[in-house]
Amino acid sequence: MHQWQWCMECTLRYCIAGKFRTNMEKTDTSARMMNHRDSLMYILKLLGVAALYALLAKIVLTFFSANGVVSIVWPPSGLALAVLLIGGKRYFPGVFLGALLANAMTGLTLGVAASIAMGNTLEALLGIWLLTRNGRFNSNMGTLHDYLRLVALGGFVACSVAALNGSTTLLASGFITTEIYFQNLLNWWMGDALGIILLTPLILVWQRMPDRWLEPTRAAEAILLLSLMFLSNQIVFLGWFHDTSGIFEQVARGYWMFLLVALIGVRLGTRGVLIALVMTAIQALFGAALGVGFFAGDIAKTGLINYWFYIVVLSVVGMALATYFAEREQMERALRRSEEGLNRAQAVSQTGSWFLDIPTSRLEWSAETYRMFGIPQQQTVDLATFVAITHPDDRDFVLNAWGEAMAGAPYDIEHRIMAGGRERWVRERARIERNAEGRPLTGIGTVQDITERKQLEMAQRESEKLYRSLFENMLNGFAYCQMIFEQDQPHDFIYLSVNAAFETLTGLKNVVGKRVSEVVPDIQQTDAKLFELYGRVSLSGKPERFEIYLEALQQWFWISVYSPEKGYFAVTFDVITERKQAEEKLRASEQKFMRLFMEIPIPLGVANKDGVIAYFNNKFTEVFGYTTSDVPTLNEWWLKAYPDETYRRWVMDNWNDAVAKAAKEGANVESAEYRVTCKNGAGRIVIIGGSPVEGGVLAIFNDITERKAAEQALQQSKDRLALALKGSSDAPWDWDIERDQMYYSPQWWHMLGYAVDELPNDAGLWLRLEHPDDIATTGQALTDALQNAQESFAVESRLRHKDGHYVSVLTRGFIMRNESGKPLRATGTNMDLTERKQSEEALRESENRYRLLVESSPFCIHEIDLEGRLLSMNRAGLNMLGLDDARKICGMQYLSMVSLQDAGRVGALLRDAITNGIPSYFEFSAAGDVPLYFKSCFIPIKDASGKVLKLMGITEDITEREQAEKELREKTQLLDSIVENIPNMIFLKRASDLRFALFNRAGEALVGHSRDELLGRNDYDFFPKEQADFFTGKDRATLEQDGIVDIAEEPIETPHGTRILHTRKLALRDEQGQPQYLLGISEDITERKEHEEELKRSNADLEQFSYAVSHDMRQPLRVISSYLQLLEMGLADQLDGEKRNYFNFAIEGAKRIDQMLVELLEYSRVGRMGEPPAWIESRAALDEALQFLQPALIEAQAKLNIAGDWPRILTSHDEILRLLQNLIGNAAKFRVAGRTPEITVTSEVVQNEWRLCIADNGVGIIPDQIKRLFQVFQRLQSREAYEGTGIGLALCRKIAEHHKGRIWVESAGEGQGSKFYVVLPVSQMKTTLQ
Amino acid sequence: MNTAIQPFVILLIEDEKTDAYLVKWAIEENRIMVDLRHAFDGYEALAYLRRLAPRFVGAPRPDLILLDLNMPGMAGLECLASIKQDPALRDIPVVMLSTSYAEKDVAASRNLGAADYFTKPMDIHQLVETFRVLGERWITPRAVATAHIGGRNA
Repeated sequence: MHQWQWCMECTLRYCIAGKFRTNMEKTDTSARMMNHRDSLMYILKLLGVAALYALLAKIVLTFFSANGVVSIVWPPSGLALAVLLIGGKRYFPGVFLGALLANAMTGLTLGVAASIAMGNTLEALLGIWLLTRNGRFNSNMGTLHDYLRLVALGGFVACSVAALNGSTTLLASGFITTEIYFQNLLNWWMGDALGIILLTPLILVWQRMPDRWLEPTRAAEAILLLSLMFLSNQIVFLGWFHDTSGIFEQVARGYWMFLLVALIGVRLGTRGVLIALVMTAIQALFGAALGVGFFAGDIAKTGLINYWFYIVVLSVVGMALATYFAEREQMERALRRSEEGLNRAQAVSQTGSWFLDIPTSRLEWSAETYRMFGIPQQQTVDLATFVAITHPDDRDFVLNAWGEAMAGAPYDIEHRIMAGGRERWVRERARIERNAEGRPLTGIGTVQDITERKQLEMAQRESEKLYRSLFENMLNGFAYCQMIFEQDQPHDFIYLSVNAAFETLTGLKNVVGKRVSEVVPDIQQTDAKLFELYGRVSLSGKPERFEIYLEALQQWFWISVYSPEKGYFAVTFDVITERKQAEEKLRASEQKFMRLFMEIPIPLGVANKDGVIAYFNNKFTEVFGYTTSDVPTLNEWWLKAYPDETYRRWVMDNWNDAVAKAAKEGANVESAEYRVTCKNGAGRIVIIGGSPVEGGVLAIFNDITERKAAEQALQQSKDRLALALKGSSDAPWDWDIERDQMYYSPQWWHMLGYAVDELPNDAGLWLRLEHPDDIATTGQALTDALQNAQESFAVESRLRHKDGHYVSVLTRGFIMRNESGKPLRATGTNMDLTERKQSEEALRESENRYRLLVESSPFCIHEIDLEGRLLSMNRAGLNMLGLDDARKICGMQYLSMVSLQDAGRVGALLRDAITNGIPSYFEFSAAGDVPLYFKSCFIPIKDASGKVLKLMGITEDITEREQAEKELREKTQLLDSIVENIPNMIFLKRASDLRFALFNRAGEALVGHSRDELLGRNDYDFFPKEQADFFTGKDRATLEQDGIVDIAEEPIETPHGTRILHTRKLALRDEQGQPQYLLGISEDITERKEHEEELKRSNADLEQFSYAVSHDMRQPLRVISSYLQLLEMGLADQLDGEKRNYFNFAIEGAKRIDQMLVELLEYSRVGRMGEPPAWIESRAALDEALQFLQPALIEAQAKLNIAGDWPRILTSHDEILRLLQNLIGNAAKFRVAGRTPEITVTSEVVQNEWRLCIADNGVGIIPDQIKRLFQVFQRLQSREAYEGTGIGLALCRKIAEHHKGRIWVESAGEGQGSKFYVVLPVSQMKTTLQ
Repeated sequence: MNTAIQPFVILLIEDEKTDAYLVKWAIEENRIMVDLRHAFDGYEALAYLRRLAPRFVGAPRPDLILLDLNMPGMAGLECLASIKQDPALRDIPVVMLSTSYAEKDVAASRNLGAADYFTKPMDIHQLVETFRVLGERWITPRAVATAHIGGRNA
């Protein structure tokens, strides 16, 4: 007792401390975290289990135990096992406690009870150990296996422990005797087992509420079936209704329960079955206990063994059925879930699947396949369904592929289907299972919707094609190449693809796949640079553009290269040799300007913004000695030109300020005087100004050193004068005016080559030695000086040297006066100017040289004044203008040479140059009809103060360059413009899909759509289907053949109604002969057709009318004339002469009308009757005509001359015959009475014309009548004199015109004869008459 | 059978009475002895030739047919075609008489089997001349031959 308490306490503590571990329970961590609340819950649960156990035991022992200790069914053991299975082994104390209580309550001693309880506990623990040992047991009772395990291990095996222990304990404690020990043992075992068999699964299954039992139908079914079970149990086991009907007594046997349990097992599953079984067990036990029903005598007969077996068998059967169905349901659910999962997976991956049983042709599709094929899922499908879905164009292909697959080939195809009216692309793959003989049994395949991929692929292909055609058709050359490196150096490259222009531009053929070194063998040596560039780009991927001269190809190239992937590069290029040449020319032209700059005789320098000195002109170098290599930048300039630091700083500040100011105001750089140190160390005084030019400053240097020097010289001269006055120097003289005495210094005499006083030295000597031309000037100067109260005077003159030559002398004098201003004395010097004169001469020569330079320059160099008038022009300029004398253009406005459209601009630029003093450059077109283009440069020439004096310019003829450019421009525009302006519709369609690629203006107008709408679309977008079918049919035919397809007439629907087109179509092919484009040219012949129809109709009408006239009108005329004649004959003897005349007039009138009708008909038929033209000998035609005319000619006694060459002509025989007859007949008819008619017929062929002349000496024509001559019914002569209808010449004219010829007459006047000319074209005859 | 000489029978098919009279007059003027029968159009002519009306029963078979081109009802060419397609009639020579001088009428008549073609002239003297030629070509020899045969028979 104490020992047990200790044991219990230990166990409890052990558990509370969480040290108790089971393999099913919490881990270390969670166990450690178990707190007091959990412990409390645990203890309460243990107590609950114990109470439940005890209660259940009490109930069973009270109601069903035979001996109060052992029962045939012992549910507590089932409860115990269930508790341990659900809660885990740690609940065993509850079981133990419950069993102890239960046994104790039966009145056993505590020791016995504990022993039994221990057995019960062990039984449960053994059961759970046996069941969970290998982890195969699932307490959900999901499978029959689980249940049978429970029955066998948990029930039959484990129970033997409790039974053995309990019975032995009872035996030992004397409760039972040895005799009934085994019986007790068996009963114990059976009871425990049945308890476990019934109750454990019930608890296990019902620990979780069923999910669908609450549905009304399900619940109703459950209630109905369980009620039925209950009722049946009552009837069978408890003897209900036995009294009312004898039948029940006979048939109420236990086997009915099998039916019901089976039914419940199927319908309600394990949960229902277990309730039913427990119900049955209880009810049957009650029946047995009460001694009624099926087991009425069972206790007595078998001690409930029969009952036990019945319940066990019933349970196993019921549970077997229930678990079987549950298992199947579960499997089905799993299957359904897996199928759903598959469907979802298929939907997501857009992959369907199918299964084909080949021998029976049974076809099954997955849900995705149904969806993909656009077929409702409930529809059954077979191969025909599949074939119907397959795109009509792909059916043969698919069926072939399947046939091959059946024969053993793999089945993996892509084809189109028509799903729900939409075209989709699918990929199908299948595997065919075969039997041992290789006969195909089943096919399992997948269908994948690849429409998007296909569309993408097609779009890509389309786009690729577009790009390729772009590259293929662009005018620039294109090449895609792979670079080959050797030792990391670009060495060679392979052409992977090139376009047509590549071949045209480079002249290299069939390069694809070849190395450039194969195609152009020397290129690696001659153009290594190219490889370096390409290699760089193909490695770096950085695009580059450059121009390069390829020695190997002897051409300049413009190249743009980029690298789409490493090691590869794509080149777009153009041959720019021509442009380069043009540039070369341009550069040459720039050099000409450069030369002008260099040659301008003013020192000039240009420095750019960075202070780099770009240019010094020649004059600069001449004056200062510096070249740009001496002073590359302004820094050196400052240092060298202004060595003195202080002065340099002043100059720099001054200059920089001036430049900054000029830049700010857009004006010139203010000029200032500087002293510049030359390269040779000499100093020069220079006024430096300048003007901002593009990108820098132009500095203009005005060297005033000489001027300064002159100023200084004057100063010196003054000094010298002073000296002279002091009796020294030059050639002093002194004149005492009062006394008129002259003193000449020895220098004076020496100057003129005389000895002192060699000549009489009076004042008059001077004048005597003066050059005759200078006497007046000198005298005047002297007189002026004396009379005008001047202090000094100076005059230049020439004095005769003793040798006879004249010496230039500057005479300077000072006049001294008295207080009243009267001159007393003059004193001064004579300076020999010879040397100065010589230097002036040199200057003049230099100037001449410069002028010669300008004159002989090949460029037009000219000067204009501030009003824009030409001052001068060199010979080249005059030549350019086609003039020979500069005087002809001097004073002419420069702008008058400029075309009107450019005059405004040029004028503004010139004004700008004048007002701002900056150079201006411009191009212009010359005035006049001949297109001439010029480029000019004008430089302002300024005086020392910076005022612009005039402009000096150079003008260059750039017509050729301009025209070359223009031609190129025109060339590129020409084709476009031609196509655009052709009045016929012109279009291009892409050969691949017949979509419009070009449409000209006439085409737009005709179809009534703009090209924006048209381009990229096809005929079906604009025309009714039949027409579009027709057009595209012709297109295809054209693409398949060579040459032009001529569609004489095709109707086309346009917004202006139906038009009839005459269309010619031609395939434009690439070099491989593959059609690229379809060219179409259509002429709208609707109007022409209508005219033709109308003309045909009108001709037919006229024909009909003429025919009717020839019959119906002439017939009555004939009647009139005939009967008048008969009448006249009948009355012959009664008529006098006058009356007979009346008859004759009437008869003649009728005949004339008839004649006119006949001729009018003939006239109307010219060109209409369709006599085919034929080659005839004109001479034979003449003879034939003469044959007809013979009687008339004989009658007229005409003399006929025939002359000239008579050609073969292609003509209408009858008409030409008629023409000759009429003209020659007229010549004979219109003769002058008494004059023998002379008729001359002349034929000649002149310049493809047949000239026929019929000349006569007849009545002639009054000139103003000539124009009436060829009109219908116009007669110039009276009928009395010359009979006729007045239609003959009109007929001739019509015949001539019908032959595209002409007819005219020449006549000197009345009685002067006439000449009729007919001229018919010979060369055109064939075409015109056809 | 000493019957009188069988006269030469001409069937004139002509809608205009005035023209018919002129034909008769021109034949007489040429002193050609013929039995001239007159039909006003193609229908009547065929009725005569095929003896389709009671009044034509016993009418003599013509030796020559003079046919106008332009007629109301059945026109000349149509009538000509019918005659030439009829095996019983096709051996009778048909000479066309027309106002028309159009080539196409001449050609069409020839093609359909007409023996000759004459244009009706404006002048009656020319008309007489025309019938002189026509008579020589188509009537006189036959008339003479007939007379000869008749004479021998007599």
